[in-house]
Amino acid sequence: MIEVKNLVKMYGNHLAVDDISFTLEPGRVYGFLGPNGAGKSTTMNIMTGYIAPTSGEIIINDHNIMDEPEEAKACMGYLPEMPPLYNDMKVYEYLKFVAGLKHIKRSERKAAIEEVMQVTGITEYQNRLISSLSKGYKQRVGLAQAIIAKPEIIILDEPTVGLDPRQIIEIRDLIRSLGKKHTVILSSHIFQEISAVCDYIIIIARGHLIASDTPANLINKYASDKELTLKVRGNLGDVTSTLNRIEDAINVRTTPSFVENDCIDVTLNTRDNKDIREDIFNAFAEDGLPILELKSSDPSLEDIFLELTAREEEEAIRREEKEMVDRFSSYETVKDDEFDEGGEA
Amino acid sequence: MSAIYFRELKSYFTGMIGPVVVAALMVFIGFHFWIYNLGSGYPYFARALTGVASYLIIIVPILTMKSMSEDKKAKTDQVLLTSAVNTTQIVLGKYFATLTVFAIPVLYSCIFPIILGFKTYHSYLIDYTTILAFFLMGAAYIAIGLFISSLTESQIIAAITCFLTIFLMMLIPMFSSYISDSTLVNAVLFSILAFILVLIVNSTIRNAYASTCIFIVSMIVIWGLYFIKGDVFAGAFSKMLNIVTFSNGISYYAAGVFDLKGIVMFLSVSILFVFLTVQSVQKRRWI
Repeated sequence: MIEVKNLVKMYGNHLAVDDISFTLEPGRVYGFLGPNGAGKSTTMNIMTGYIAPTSGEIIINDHNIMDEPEEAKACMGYLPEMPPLYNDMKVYEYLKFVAGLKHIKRSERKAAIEEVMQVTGITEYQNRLISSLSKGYKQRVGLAQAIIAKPEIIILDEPTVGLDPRQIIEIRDLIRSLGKKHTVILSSHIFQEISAVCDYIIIIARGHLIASDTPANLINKYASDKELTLKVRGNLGDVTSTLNRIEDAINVRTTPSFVENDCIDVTLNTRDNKDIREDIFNAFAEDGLPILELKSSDPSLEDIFLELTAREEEEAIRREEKEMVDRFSSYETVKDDEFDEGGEA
Repeated sequence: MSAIYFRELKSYFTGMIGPVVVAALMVFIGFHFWIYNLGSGYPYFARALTGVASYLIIIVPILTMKSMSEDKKAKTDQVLLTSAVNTTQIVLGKYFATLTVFAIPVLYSCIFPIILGFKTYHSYLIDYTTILAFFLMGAAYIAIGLFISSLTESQIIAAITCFLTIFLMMLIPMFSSYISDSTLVNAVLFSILAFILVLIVNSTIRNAYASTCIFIVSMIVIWGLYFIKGDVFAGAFSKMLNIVTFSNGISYYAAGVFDLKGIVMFLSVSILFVFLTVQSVQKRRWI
């Protein structure tokens, strides 16, 4: 189990992570989602003990990373943003080094390396120099390094960057299968990646934690009303009168279609997100107006993500503006005072 | 620690640095043996080795330049620092790997006293204590180089800084004899040194109050000592400079004097700079 409490990280005057707290349960796949520069990598670097927080606590399986770093680090495997590979080593040699570093028993090392190479699909590259590997294969070696000691917690910072679409699917499958036995935390700024593999999503923007929940709950919590769009053949008056008979239709907007003559495009929301597609069909059928198209659009997680991060962005800009105005106005007052004094002298 | 040690050691020999450094030192040692012992007929190999000591100014920067800096630049320190090994083990693993590379030509030099032993009466004790001192002096320089390498991400900057540091250490003793022996001058010099040290401390702890306290205490100690027992300051500053810059190097050992002070100095400098390297790696995590 991982507990992050009131995590703050300052780089000089820049606040990279601002008071983030969350608890991660074992045996799930967690997704860290946020735009570039949101503080994902910083949070991960602090969680793995690579850098120290300005304040706050990280507790990994009851070990505080600051007080008992070795015990805490032994529970984790980490693939940083840039795979930490030694270019002057061969793949097998590097994995042997990591196995030693992670205190895998000498007798079990060979088996562990073979297994991890198999899983990540790098067995045929084991005698290649790491410097000669492509970006995608370097990423795989980095992943192998993170999971070689079978840690309880696997932390992956943007694991599919630089991979081709086929490899992305393979790595996603791998992550999903790892998620059955281990706690996996992965970060990404790409939404599809997170929604494809994660049971639980943590959205970060500008160093703030803005939402954390399961994908289904996130939709329920933040989704706006369901929207239906339909195209009906008929004139505007008839269509409107039919629509008026449907009780649960709200916010109805009708426009004559540009594309097809004598058609009306309708967009409407439904009260309490009820499914009223059958009601609509029956109502128009009674009046003999044929429905040519009926489409229900579910608000996607991506929309929620975009909206939440945009909201955070706006707030941040507003905060900065306010700060600047405050600073400017105080500067003005000082200037005025000085000027007055000068005038009197 | 052993994993890091073996990796570093191997990396010296997959690249050029290891073979080149080992070969160069072997050539220098052989060359000096030829000139001094075979050419000029000195009965001690130790005499030849004192000449080799000055080549360390080039050898040590090359050996240590990438020890810590390369890891930082390539971000490979992430795999080290997020594994269940502590910083001391990481630094010691790297330090011992460098020492091992340096030990190869030193071990090679152990043959020469035996060669001389066939021909002339001579003391193995002097030769082998000098070889030991040579190794320990190298170890101290390597610790300094390791520390400098931990301060930067650039190998070139690390190498140049390390070269200049050793150069300065070799240069200072030449000028230290010009410093007056007067107790007042020495007390003033120590005060200036204390001030500079406090400035350095302040730049890291950023606590003006604590730094001022340290400075006041050091001033009380220096000037208190000056007024109570002023003669301890006579020539003390140049003496101190000579000790910290290893000015005698291994020449005492070569002259048949077992200089315990020198050995203690080499060992303390090695331990101090390995410790400082650990602190420097730790500190980086906090910025």
